[in-house]
Amino acid sequence: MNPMVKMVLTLAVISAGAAAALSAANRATADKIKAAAEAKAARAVQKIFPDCAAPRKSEAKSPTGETVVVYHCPGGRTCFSFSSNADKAISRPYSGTVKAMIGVDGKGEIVGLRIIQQSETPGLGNKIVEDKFLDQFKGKSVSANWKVRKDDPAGVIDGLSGATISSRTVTSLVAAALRFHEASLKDAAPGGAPDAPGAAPAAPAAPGCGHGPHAAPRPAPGAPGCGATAPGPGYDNRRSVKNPERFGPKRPAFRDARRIMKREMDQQRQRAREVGAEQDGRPVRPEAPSPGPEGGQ
Amino acid sequence: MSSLRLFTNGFWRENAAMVLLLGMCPTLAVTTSAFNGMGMGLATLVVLLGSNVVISAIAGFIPKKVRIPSYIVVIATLVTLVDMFMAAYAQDLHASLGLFIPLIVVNCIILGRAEAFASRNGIGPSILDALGMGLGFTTTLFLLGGVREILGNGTLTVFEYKETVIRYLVFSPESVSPILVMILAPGAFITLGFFIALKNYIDGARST
Repeated sequence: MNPMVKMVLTLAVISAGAAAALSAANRATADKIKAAAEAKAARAVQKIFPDCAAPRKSEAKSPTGETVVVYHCPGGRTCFSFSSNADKAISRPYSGTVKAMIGVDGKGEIVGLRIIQQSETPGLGNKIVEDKFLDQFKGKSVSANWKVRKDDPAGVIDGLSGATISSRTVTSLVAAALRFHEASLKDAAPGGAPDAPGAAPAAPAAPGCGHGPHAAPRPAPGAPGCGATAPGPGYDNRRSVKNPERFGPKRPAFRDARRIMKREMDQQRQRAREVGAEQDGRPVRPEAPSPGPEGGQ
Repeated sequence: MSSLRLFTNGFWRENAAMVLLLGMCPTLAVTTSAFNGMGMGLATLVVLLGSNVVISAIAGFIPKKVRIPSYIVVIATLVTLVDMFMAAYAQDLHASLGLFIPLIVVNCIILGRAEAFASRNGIGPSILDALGMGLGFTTTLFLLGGVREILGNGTLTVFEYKETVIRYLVFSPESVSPILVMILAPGAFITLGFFIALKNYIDGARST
């Protein structure tokens, strides 16, 4: 046989065998994997709301159009999983996707939080799954200053040492999830949802503002309307440089220095002439030199 | 070579991490705790066993020029199969080891053993080679992870499954601040360097 044909045939046969094995395995395991993921989510709900045995499920769309499965428990409590792709404001994780199950009570405060998916660095970033880190989030609501203390001393979250990016991701993810909850879940929580025929707790649907039945009238700083999305803190990895001026306007090239200095001195002289003897205390400083149209990089 | 020698080869004389210097990516990236090192080692062992068996069986039919792509397809398929079945039938194990499974595809030990050993030997010796290499790799990674974890975090995690965590506190991070760099990537290079130096020193002392 022609050796070329033999090579092609061998590779084709091996690849076909691999494809067959994989598709068979996929068929055998896909349902199991999906069921396992659902069971895992349900277990996370159980951990957060132990008394909520049979939560009602519904679906909603996140700001980026991801499907969010929401588990409704009695008392206006909701539990939903939110991934780091669900909102553009979420700071990117160190690697892969981070997904959290977040339990919120009728007042909009976090009851429990569990990370159900992550692939951060073992030993550093994957410490975001530990209770020691996650317990900080409990009892806080959307109005908290959702920043890591390293970025903002007034922030409410202590980041993990060596894992600032992962800490930022979780913090901004929770902030985005709470905004999502405020905007699209809170109104629907107390039995007012159209897709809840009788399954919802028998609470009188609060007219107007859709706070939960146990909701204390929250001051709602800066967000007077109900369901209004509070402009929360967004994170952007690319802008977290401590000194952005360093990367600020392009500096003129050295070979333009003479010309620019001359122009600056002219300007300064002219300004001094204009100001004259008034001396209004304004420091005479040249404006930031901008390279002229002929001045290259 | 006797069977025993074949088996012990991977532990010392041809230790994948310290002598062949293969599989550096998982060696350096994953050994942030003793358990993580062991998990990576065991996952590698399983795939190595499978790939050595399959490749020693089919090597005779594969033309020399396309052997590497063929081996890669076999290895990648095996890794994906292991990943799928673990996700379906052993979720908790998958949750703690799942991270390492896709990393195995890029592990040169598998391809290295397929090329250097399994394609030239029968199934029996290939199984022994895979066991020796895999367990030797696991032991090295466990020790590497242990040293790094103790120095960098003050703890030693031996076991982590579901809610069961066996973790020893070597020193408390409050009293002695740990050497954080040991957990980070440079710490892996430093520790591996000391490991190789120690091994060479022992070899030198034995031969004289």
